[in-house]
Amino acid sequence: MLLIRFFGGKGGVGKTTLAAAYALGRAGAGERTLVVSTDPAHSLGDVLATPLSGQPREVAPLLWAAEISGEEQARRRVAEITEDARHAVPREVLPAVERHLARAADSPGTVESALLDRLTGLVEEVGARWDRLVVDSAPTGHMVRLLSLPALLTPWIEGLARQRERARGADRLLAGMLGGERERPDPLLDRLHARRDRLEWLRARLRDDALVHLVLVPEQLPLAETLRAAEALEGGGLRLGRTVVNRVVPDDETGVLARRREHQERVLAELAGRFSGTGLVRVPLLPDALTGAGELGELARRLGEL
Amino acid sequence: MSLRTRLASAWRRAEAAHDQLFVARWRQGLRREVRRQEDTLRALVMLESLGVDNPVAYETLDLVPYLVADLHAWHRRMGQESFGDPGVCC
Repeated sequence: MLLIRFFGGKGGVGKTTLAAAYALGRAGAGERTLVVSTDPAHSLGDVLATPLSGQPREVAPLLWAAEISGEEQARRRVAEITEDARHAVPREVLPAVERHLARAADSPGTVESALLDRLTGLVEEVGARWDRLVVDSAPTGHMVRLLSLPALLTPWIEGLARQRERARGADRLLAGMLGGERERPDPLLDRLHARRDRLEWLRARLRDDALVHLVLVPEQLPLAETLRAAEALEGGGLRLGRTVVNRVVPDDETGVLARRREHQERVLAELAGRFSGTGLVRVPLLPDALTGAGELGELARRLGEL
Repeated sequence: MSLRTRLASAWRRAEAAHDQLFVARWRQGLRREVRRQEDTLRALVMLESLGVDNPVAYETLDLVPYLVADLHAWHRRMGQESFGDPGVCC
């Protein structure tokens, strides 16, 4: 079942509004739906006309929403590890542990890894707490990197785990020879394996249960970026859902908008060719920005099940 | 000294010589191998402490306390009460 839906695209194409409308539609159809925004510049709360935090909050019947952040998740994890370390390591090394953790948390890539970690937690709840998860993802390049992370991380963690196993193997041989200590479970190795398993699980789950809906406005620059994103996502093992073309000028317009319409037709033709397998959804140019559950309703009906 | 005690002490001497010649050397080599493997792991996980960008620092965060504790145990074994500042160990 394709219960996890991502909405991705260039900034300003309306993906937050579309994700919110889609989520609202699913909730209206009786599904317990969670919509989350991962964009560091959150606007989901503005679209839903209600303040949001990192924890899901019910904003309409059967609809929950949250704005999740990698920084927040990284801070939480460092705090948890520091707390665990109090019981696991000698007291005199705790300041050093804290310094090393702070440095590691400042590493490039940490925010994205942490965001993916938070998202994994939510994906784990799909099927139990939620019937559907809608992710209003960050701008395209960021999203692609985020989702291809497991593929990059798994070999690295496997390397680390192998390295650890080699060290343990030599250690065990030595201990046996000296008639030394009995074999103990290795907390490091367990953690490395758990980490890798979690990433692999997410990757498989996304491959089986997730669709990415690329969102764009029918103009040349967003078109180029969308084609690149489609290639990168499919290359990363993700499936594309129907592509949503936002702000299509109705064909009864005159003047400037009519000329705009001609340009849009060319882009739409190219899109129809590229996405013939998955299909397109056209959303007309609307006079106002939509906010709140009431105004999003019409848009939700247009998107349907996607 | 009876023949029996003489034989026993000769056996012990031979055993000690064998130990020194072969086993001790092997043991030393093995110990070195253990240390080398552990150092490599430590370096991989704590890359950013060495000033190298670590692309998976977040994924290995929970190894950090154990590796610092290992480092601590090691410098104590080597007879040093403290090692570096709190940025390294203690």
